[in-house]
Amino acid sequence: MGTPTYTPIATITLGSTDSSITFSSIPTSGYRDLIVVCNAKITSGSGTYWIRLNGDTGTSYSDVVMYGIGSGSGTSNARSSQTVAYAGAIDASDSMMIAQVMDSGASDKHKTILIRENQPDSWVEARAARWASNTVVNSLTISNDSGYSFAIGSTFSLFGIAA
Amino acid sequence: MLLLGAIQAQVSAPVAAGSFDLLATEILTSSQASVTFSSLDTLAAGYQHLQLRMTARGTRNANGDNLGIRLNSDTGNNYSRHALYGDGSSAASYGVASQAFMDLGTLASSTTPANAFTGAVTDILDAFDSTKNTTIRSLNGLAAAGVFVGLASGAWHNTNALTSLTIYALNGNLVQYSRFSLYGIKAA
Repeated sequence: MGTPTYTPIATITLGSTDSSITFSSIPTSGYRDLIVVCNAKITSGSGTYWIRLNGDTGTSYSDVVMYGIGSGSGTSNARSSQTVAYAGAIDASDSMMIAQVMDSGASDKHKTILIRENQPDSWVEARAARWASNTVVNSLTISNDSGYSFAIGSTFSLFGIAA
Repeated sequence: MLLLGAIQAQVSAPVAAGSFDLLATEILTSSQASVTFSSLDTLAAGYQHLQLRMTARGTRNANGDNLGIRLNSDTGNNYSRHALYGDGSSAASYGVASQAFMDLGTLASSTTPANAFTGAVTDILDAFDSTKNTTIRSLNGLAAAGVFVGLASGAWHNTNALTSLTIYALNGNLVQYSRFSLYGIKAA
């Protein structure tokens, strides 16, 4: 018999618009991976979700994306030495983003983040990101680069996976 | 951290017993050729699907290697595999049949920046159903030199229930700190 896991840690549902959300004081023992599930949109315009770990504002992040927009071939691009990890496109329509922070609870490796993000009216994408730090994750911030806030009703749920 | 205007719910207790359960974890203390989860008929009794969660790195002297999986020690050409992947400059795909393994992604290797490991989450569906071949899907990636993100799928053309699965690097060993965790998912 296995050990039950995939444990809800916290859920945030916005009762008013907000430019970012942060899960802080994330338990640093008991979970090996973290999963954040976002069902969100912004108040206007378009942009890209981003994730920052442990409040690290240094150029510690890299990411690579593969996406399709419903016509033509798929596209891929990559970034390195950035101050945030991109986590998927977002606009004023409902979208879903699931980010899995692998080995968030380990101190022996950088943190690889696997991301799937969909905005059914516009695109589908898969991403990988890396936080170049061996530090155990104790906070996770989600925002976007559009200049607009997350809309009322946007939800962000954090889960812990034991290993 | 409470946000002004936000509703926040904190749940600290585990979920009710077992629809998504940790079955086993292996964290390598030194390099080795492969990792095997065996006796799945006992270890995963009562579960319908399996999920592998991995962070892995290999010893190949290159920016990447194949991270492969075989089922029930079958080394024959009884697998097919496909992938859609992005390498930072273009998106491409491949598909091959009659292969000796299924693909879990590109493995970070010796010339990848230190401490960078490939991440992969792989679902193995209906692992113990003897009426169908076993299929897998994998989300995998690494944002380091030799960047990639991939969606892989595979089929083992055999209807036997799973008794073991073996993960390995095609052209080297798996290094220390590589982590492989197996989870069981129950049906309703």
